[in-house]
Amino acid sequence: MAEPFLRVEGLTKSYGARAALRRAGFVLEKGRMLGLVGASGSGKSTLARCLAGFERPDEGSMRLDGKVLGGQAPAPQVQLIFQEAAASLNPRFRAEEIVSEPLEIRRRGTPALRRKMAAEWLEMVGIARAASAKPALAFSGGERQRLAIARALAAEPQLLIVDESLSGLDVMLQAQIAALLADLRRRLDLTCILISHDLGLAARLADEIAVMDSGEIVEHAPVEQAMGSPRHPRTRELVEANRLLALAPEGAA
Amino acid sequence: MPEALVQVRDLRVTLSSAILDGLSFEIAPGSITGLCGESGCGKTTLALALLRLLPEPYRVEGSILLGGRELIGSSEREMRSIRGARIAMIFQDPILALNPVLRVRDQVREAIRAHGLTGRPEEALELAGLEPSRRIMRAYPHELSGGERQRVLIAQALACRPALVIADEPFTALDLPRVVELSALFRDLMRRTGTSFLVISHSPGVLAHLADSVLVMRSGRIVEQGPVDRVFGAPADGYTARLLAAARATERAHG
Repeated sequence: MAEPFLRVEGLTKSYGARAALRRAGFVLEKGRMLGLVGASGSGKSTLARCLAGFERPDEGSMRLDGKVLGGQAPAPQVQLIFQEAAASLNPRFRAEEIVSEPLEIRRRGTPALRRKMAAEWLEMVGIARAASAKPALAFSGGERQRLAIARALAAEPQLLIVDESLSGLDVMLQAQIAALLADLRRRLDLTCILISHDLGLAARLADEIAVMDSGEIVEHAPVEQAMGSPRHPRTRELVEANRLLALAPEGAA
Repeated sequence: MPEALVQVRDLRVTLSSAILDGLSFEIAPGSITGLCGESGCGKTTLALALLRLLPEPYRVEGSILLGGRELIGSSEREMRSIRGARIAMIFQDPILALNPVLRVRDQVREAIRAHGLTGRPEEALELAGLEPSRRIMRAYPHELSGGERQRVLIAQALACRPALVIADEPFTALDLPRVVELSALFRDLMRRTGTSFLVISHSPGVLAHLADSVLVMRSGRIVEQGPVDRVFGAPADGYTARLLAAARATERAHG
């Protein structure tokens, strides 16, 4: 059997006496999007930080496209978009500088070429060419999310992790960024992990759902199966709560 | 039709331009009213205006009747007897709203004493659905879970048995099962104490589940209001329809 594109096995991480990850494992094929859901404190962000190389797991292994992840330095092939997109951008950098920085770090092309590539990435996420000289500070919350996405994409990651980046946004912005992510996935064949405490949002965007509880992945299934016939009590609880909080279909007053 | 608990007429809040532009609505006693709209549409400003917490140079005009008593033009002294006692507010971020160096027991006791009352903190916590165990009573805010912190705030808000509780985005940071629990708690409190709730949320799905009636705001105006089933089931305003479409585009209920 062919090795999956991403394989995470037995990942364990403790902070002092508190276990954040307990033998968490899953596989993900290329071009798929995994919705990683669970309560706050269930280990979702720790898992993301291990994959991106910001944390070293105590035990376990991570392989992406046949290569071992988990060295000392953050892995450039894994890009993480944080919840607070605004806080993760240098407010004084111009939009094009924010996006061309990953290119510069990787010594891609000449300054002129990098500017051109940055402009293309900005256009890809829906930021007008005219705005590329504005500082990050001058952009709205939703636009800063787009900037953070453009910067992550400019690093040409093999795996993109979106960590609760949509949860602070109102529904109008959430819908816009969700549509953007769906569009980018189609165009760029991205392999993606979407972290959210909102099962409905994850199920809407992702192909498969993994549910975390106390540092473990307790259920991992295609969206239809996770939503239609959830097996683990945590998944059932999430599916039921999500059903109660979803709007009735249009016209069903 | 019972007399309204709160009757707002042509409420205007102006800074250099109009932030709230002629709002009129009523809140019935013993009801839950949802307030939704995009970030920056004026939801929190409305909450602060009801509590008369907007400082100079904000200009607040119009009429806010609470049980027949006019709040616009009331003195700061009169307002101090209304805030907490008649209208309480639960702020968005429990970790910021709680005093980090006070244990839960002292935190709730302080809220009770500040209003010259003598109730026990244990009772207020029980009312908010939090078992007043030794661990909870002795805990500092950072030692509690998000849901527990939220309930300490609710206990403080309810300590004076206010007629109206305003909750500003109380669900944002919570896991979905905790949202369902907190909604059930609000409805239970409404039934048991007769308290009305004004719940601010940008999520129409949560309000459809929780509220009796809803106000939809856009750019400082109310574009639509009415029973939640009617407004969300058959929106009359194009903006409400767009808001609902956006919410539906980010959810999936079934397999």
